[in-house]
Amino acid sequence: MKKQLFIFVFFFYYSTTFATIQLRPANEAYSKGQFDEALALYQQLANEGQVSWVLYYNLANAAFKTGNYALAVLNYERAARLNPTHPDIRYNLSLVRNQLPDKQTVLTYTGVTGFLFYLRNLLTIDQWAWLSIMFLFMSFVSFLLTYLLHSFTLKKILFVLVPFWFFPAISSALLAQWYYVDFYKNEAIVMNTEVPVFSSPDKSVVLFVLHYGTKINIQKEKNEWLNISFEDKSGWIEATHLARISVP
Amino acid sequence: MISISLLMLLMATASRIVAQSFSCVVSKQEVAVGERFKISYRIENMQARDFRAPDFDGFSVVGGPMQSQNMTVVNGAMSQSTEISYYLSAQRAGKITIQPASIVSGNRTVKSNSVEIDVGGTTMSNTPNTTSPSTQPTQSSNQQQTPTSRDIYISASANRQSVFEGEQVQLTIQLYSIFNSVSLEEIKYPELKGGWVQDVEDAVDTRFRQEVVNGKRINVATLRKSILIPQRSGSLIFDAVTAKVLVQRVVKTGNMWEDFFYGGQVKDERINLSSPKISFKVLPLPEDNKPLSFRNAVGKYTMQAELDKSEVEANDAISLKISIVGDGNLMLLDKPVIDFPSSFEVFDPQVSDKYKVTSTGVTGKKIFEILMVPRVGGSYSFGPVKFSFFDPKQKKYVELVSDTFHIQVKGVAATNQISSGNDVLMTGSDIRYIDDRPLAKNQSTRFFFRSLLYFLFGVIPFILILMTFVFRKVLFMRQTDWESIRTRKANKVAVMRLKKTRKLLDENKLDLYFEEINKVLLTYLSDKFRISFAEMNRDVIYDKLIQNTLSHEISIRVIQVIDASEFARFAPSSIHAGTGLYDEVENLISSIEKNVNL
Repeated sequence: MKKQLFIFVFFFYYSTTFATIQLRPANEAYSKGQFDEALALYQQLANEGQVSWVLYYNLANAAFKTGNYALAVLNYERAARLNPTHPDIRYNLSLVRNQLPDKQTVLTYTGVTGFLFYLRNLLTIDQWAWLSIMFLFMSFVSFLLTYLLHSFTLKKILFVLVPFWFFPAISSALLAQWYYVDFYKNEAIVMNTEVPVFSSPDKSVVLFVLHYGTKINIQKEKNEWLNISFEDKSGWIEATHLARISVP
Repeated sequence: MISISLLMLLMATASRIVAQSFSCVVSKQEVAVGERFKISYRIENMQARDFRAPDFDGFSVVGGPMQSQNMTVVNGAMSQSTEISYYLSAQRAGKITIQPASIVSGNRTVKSNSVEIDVGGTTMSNTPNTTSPSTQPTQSSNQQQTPTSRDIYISASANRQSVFEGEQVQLTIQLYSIFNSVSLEEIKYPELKGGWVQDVEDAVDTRFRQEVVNGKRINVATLRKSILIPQRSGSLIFDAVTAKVLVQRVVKTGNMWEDFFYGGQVKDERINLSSPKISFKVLPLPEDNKPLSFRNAVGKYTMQAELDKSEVEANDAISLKISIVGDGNLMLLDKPVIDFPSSFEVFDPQVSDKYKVTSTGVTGKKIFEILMVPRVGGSYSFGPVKFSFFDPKQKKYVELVSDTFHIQVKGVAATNQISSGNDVLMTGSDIRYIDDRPLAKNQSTRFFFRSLLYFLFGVIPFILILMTFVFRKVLFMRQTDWESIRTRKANKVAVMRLKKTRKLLDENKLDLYFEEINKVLLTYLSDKFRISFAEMNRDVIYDKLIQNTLSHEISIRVIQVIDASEFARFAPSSIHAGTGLYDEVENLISSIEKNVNL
């Protein structure tokens, strides 16, 4: 019974992981310059719940071509979450940001953090996870041998190896965690042309106005209202004006 | 009548001939008396000979016949047309019908349509100032008449009226006059829209020369010769040239004396003249086989491109000289397109042109000198320089290609000097293209990281380590327990086994008895003092006994008993010796039990 369940879970996991998305009709429409049609086709795939950076990137391109910059930013951001280092995504994202009305500082990592960011993006979240497990087991084996063996010299060598494996295990797990937190960061894009931000979750005092394509952080939620922060400002905004970047 | 018999000797090899027709067209259907108008007979796609113009009854022929030929090939279909035109002026008012003209094509006679002209009674203003329009002019005395448009007029003619965009057309403006003394007071050339006009230098010859037109001698002066280059396709109209001339002519006064001696009175007259308009049909350049390097050059050219040096230091300038020589629209030439290496700083070309407008067209050369500065050392190659033009005579494009250039640049320039932001600006105009793979993998957002399995994997090593600890602890404890039991039960076991050996002694099995009693003693010692059998020898036993606070005597005695029992095994002795040994062992065990407390 248990074995059957395991096989079922295994099958389910793989069937969803390796399902492919048929992009050909949409890509063909795009290459012919029928951007409206391409956009509709990509959008349909995304609405079906298909998740792929290629899909989001192409969708964003089609949105850009049809002049829907907010939708383009949203989908470039989604694509960037799934593939943070792809040069085309970053390039197009920076290009579309130049078309937006709100000036926004873009977070960039430099120096040591820049190196760590680079290192982090070399592998995916799950690759880091597996790596940390592997290192942990190496550390474990070293420790066990230290404990069980009688020879003193071997014990010494193996005892040094324990932290030697344990440190990368922890580091990998931390990088995976960083990646994971970034992936599920609670950010959203302003989708409407002009959106007022209020001082409280009712239509009281307008603090400032945001425009389409601006990326904001969501702090907390209250019914249909979201407490957001943008750079050093914060306020309440109606949820209908925003689209969350997090992939559903 | 005028017969033109050699009309269509050419173009016998036309691949496809379309729409044959022979028609008559007039420039105006309502004219005033004395006003000039043009009548043209158009022969299209016919092998014609023996053109017979009608009697222009009621009109006088002021100009012509002028003949122009035209041939166009569009997509391999050739069409040709010949136009024969006359300038007429009406002599009397009323409706006058011009009878059809005829030509012979093959062996049949073809007639054109007839045209009806409505001649109004009043003269037009641009006709020479006729003092009395009602007076019927008599053919006999020309001088008596006021000058008509047959006597003096301006003609504008082009060598062809159907041209390609950018092709050259020769335009000739001539003054015809039967009067010998004409001075040009004012001449106005029209502005041309959609074309480029340049006058031919030294072609103007205002001296009269004599020609025979329509059987009459007439003076002709070339006012201007121009080269016209249409710059857009469609129809292009060259407007009328207007001029004001002063004519001196002799008028008979009626005074016989004067007429006899002076030939009449000299009279000045100012006449306004205007030439007919010319309309051109400008054909667009064919799109087929248009080379990528084509930049509106039309004509016939040769190109030469050279570098002044092929080996330079970084940051030294090199110049590329491209000279284009030939006939055609030289002044409208653009520089050829060249891809330079990106680390070259390229300056806008210096353009110099030298051309001459002759009666056959524009000829000369244009030189582009491009200065470039390589910023980074290395060996580069670029080119070839490509230049293409349309040859209107052959109706096809020609592409000229230079050699590829190789440049050796020595040294490395400082990096901060490579600051050519141009390329970035140019490519920044559009987003990058989509990723066009047809199938994309569905990326799962359910991660292994932080899943139950992951935590399990993370915890398992620690659990295993813990389990090992516990297991070893339990194992150790068990082991120590078992040994203490053995120690505690050593005496009991020994006593029981001794009783069994007693039986062997009673049955007189001495061999077995000695062997057994040796074993009993050794087992007892092993259990009591935790000595493994493997380690057991006299020294170890002695040491162990001394360690456990037994006296030397007892220890020696134990060794002696072991030796004795072993000796007795191999050299059997009496029952008496056996009994003695039995007592001895019994005593020893009890004394060890008394002295050792474990």
